[in-house]
Amino acid sequence: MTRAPHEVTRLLREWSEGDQTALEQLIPLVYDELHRLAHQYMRREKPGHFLQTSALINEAYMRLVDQPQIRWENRTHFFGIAARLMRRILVDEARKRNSAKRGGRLIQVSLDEAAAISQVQAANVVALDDALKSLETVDARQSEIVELRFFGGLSIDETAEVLKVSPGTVMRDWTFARAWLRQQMTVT
Amino acid sequence: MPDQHRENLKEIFHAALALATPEREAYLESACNNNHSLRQAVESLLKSHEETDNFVDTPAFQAAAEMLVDRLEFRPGDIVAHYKLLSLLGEGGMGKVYLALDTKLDRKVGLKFLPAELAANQDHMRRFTQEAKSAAALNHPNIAQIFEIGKHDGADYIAMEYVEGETLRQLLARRKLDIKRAVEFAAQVASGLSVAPPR
Repeated sequence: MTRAPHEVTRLLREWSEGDQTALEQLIPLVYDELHRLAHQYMRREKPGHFLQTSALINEAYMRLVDQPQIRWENRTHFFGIAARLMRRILVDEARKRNSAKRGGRLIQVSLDEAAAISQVQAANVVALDDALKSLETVDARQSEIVELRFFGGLSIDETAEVLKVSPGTVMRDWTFARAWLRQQMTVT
Repeated sequence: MPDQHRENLKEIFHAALALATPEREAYLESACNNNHSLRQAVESLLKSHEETDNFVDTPAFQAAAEMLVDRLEFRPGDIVAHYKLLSLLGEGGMGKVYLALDTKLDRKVGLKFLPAELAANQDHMRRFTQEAKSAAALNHPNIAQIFEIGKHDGADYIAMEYVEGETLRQLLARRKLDIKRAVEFAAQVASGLSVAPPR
């Protein structure tokens, strides 16, 4: 079905060896798979059910990558890309639904209709994306940490591995970033 | 905010967090050193930190699942198995029906999708499959033929015969029927119903 496994594996290896063009080719392949899986998961899960984003990325990884050939490092690289792509997928979806709305305000959930909840969450995702873009301009690593944890579902330790910093550093940055983002998202 | 200010802010924020509330006040007093905006910035962040309803604390898919709760959305042009969706024909109690092109046989079909919330329910799924099987066993000019049932990306569908033209409901909305035509239609419906198994 997917011609991808060998190609993704090869591209991952090339990218980890420093070839930037490999990343460009990698992205659409991973994007397609994640997009497909994401919609599959989203349709299957009832609202309110907890869904492991990292499980989804794991599944994408297993489908796309020829495992025995890949070193651990490449796996963490993959998670890094995957989180970024998950962000793109979800934010695209949210912006489409949010196109009538303006601004980046965090909306309090006080309604309980399905359509209203859907609208609220779309607005929240858009607000977060806007806030992350601001964060990125002043602290790229904090922005990346939030991306990996929120969109990629990675733990503190996994995030530390991807970024090659200590878990303590990740924890500190995460603590600050989440407070800062909440503030951003509640300002008019 | 210039780099150094931000570094200060981070440093004071973390140091304050490590202290218990009574000591915090004294610490902020000395660390901020009459710089009101800095003091305000730290206090604001500390307050924000304490709020429990932080959006980023729950993984993205929670929001995503809730975001998509009101629909199972396909769009014209989407490919489902070997079908290409052309347009939305309508929406019934059991799901949406699309006009689609069967790309293998090059013919138009109706594709009816079972809504995700229903598919998650075992009983509904059983009934959906059972009805599809019952309908598939019938062959009558007044009953849309069932071609196949399938699953694509987690969505269950029935592929059925597409009959061009208005539905009876649409026709009746447009104009009243004369008695002759009304009887003709009724006879056709009855004929179709007569081969369906009793409920």
